[in-house]
Amino acid sequence: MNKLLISCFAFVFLGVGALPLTAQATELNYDHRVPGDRALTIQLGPTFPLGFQSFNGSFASSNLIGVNMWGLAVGANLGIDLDFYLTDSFRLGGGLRGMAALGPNDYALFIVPITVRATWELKYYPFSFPVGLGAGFSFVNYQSQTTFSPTLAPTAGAYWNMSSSWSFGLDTTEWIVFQPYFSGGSVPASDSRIGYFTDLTIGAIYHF
Amino acid sequence: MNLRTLLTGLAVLVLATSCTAGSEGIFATIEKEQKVVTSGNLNTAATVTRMAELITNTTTNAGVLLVSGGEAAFTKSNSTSVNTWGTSSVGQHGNVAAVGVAGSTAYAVAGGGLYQSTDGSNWSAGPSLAAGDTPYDLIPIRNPDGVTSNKLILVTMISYTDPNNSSVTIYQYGRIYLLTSGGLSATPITLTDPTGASSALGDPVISAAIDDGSNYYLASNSYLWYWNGTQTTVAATTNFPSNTGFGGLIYLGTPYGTTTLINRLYVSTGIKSGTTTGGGIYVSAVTSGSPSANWGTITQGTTTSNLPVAFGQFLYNNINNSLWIATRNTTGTSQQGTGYMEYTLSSSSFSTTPSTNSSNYSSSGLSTYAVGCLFYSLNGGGLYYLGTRSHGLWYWNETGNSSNPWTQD
Repeated sequence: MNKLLISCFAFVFLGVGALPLTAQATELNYDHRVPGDRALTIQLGPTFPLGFQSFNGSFASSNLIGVNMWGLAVGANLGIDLDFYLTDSFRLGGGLRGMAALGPNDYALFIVPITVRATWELKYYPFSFPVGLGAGFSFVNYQSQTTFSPTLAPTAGAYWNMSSSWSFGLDTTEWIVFQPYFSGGSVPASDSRIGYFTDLTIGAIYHF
Repeated sequence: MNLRTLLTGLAVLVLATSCTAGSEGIFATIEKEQKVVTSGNLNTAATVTRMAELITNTTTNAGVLLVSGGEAAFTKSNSTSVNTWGTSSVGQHGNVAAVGVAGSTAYAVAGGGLYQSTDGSNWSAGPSLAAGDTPYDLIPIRNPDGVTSNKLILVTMISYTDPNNSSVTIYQYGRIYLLTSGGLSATPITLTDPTGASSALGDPVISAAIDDGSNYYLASNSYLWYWNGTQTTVAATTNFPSNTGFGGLIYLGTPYGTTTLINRLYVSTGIKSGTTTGGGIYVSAVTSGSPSANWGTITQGTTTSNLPVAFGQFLYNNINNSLWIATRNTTGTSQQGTGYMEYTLSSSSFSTTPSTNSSNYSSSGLSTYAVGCLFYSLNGGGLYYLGTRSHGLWYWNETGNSSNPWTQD
């Protein structure tokens, strides 16, 4: 009888004691990050060329989407980012992106930005909303011409954290690609432009 | 990493952006690029202001016919094969302002660049110009037969940075160069205006040029020049309206043995700046290589005479022994027009009233279109062409309906 009572007591004690541990473990299954955690993001989606702006501020309407059919067509992009969490809601990293869009005569414009990025995550369990700013350079190629262009890339997204390892969602990034040319170079300074491209991507993040 | 290292690195990266394989900015190139439209006939709304012919076989006159005027360039290999135009790849560089042929090389000004081709299909960057020169226009230099054009005047724009605003680039009419079978002249042609000012920037808006064998005649914005290869002189222009723009030039020389009206220089003028008058057609006898100071007036358009007052290119019609003159209307925009006028040449005189042929095209609707260029093609057997500024290209079918001899090509 005593043995039975001890067994029952032990069962109740251990069972009650285990409940908080189980609940805590369940919470940790989701998106609580600690410094050193990594996130590998893969993104894929369409790229919308918005327009080119000269350095005096004027836009060339001929290439604005919906204004003129002669401009760049909607393209596509594929990207990969690797980020490191510094806190639960802030991560630093870098990424490589490849974008392509066809010009008026079906020549492909290739843009390959390489950026470093700071991202803040606004969390509303089980969702998170990353907002970030990237900066770096892009290799831009069109026909026989190639440039190395400073690039800014503000981004925003919405992700569903399916598990502690995987998140799925959408991102939109505005790529601002600067092409400055200087007097005395092979390209006249009047050809300086800022290119604006917006991409809308579906993304998968692997946390490890 | 200290701040100086960081700033140096950033400066190097920014400067690296100017390391471009090419002569045009990529985004600027795309911005200027026009879609090349492929069509059987020329775009019926096209602007046609320049035609040129690259003869690749002088025995058979086989070659390529080129058309341009503000959008894509079009090409075809046989002028008598109508509605067989294709688009030229040079249009991928932007608006094709002009095409022309010098020797065995075709040139095109497209998207602010100069391009060249020896077959009319494959285009590469043309000869380099002096720093600051941007190609602007190509003007054919016609021989006295009025047809062949194996030399070109290249007109450039000069660009420089606004001294008051470093982000603004200012363009102004620039220099003129000679393009021949030997290539681009090393130095620009210097025009000395009557005030004595000597400058390559004197008056470079050339509208027409001819070569009579000893002089080049250049019709510019304000003056008629003749140039012997080293010096330019303003031709005497008695009886001319002053400060008007010259539109066309033709020299009817010895090849026209059917008429005694040889060695005559005909000049057409446009509208005086700021007015609606000033256009006319004038003729001068040429002796010893220079035109007479006493110019005869064939017509002077006025707003009340129902005549156009802006006159452009000439073309000699060998079949009718007549002279065609492109016209524009007096009112509204420069795109408006009244077609062309035709004057009959006889063995002893020049008709001072337009021949009835001038109105033959009215039933086709051409009478309301400004004419951008007149051209005779040797290629494929020969056709007369009329390029409009807003309604495409037409050819003259002398064997067709005499009341409506023009057909869209």
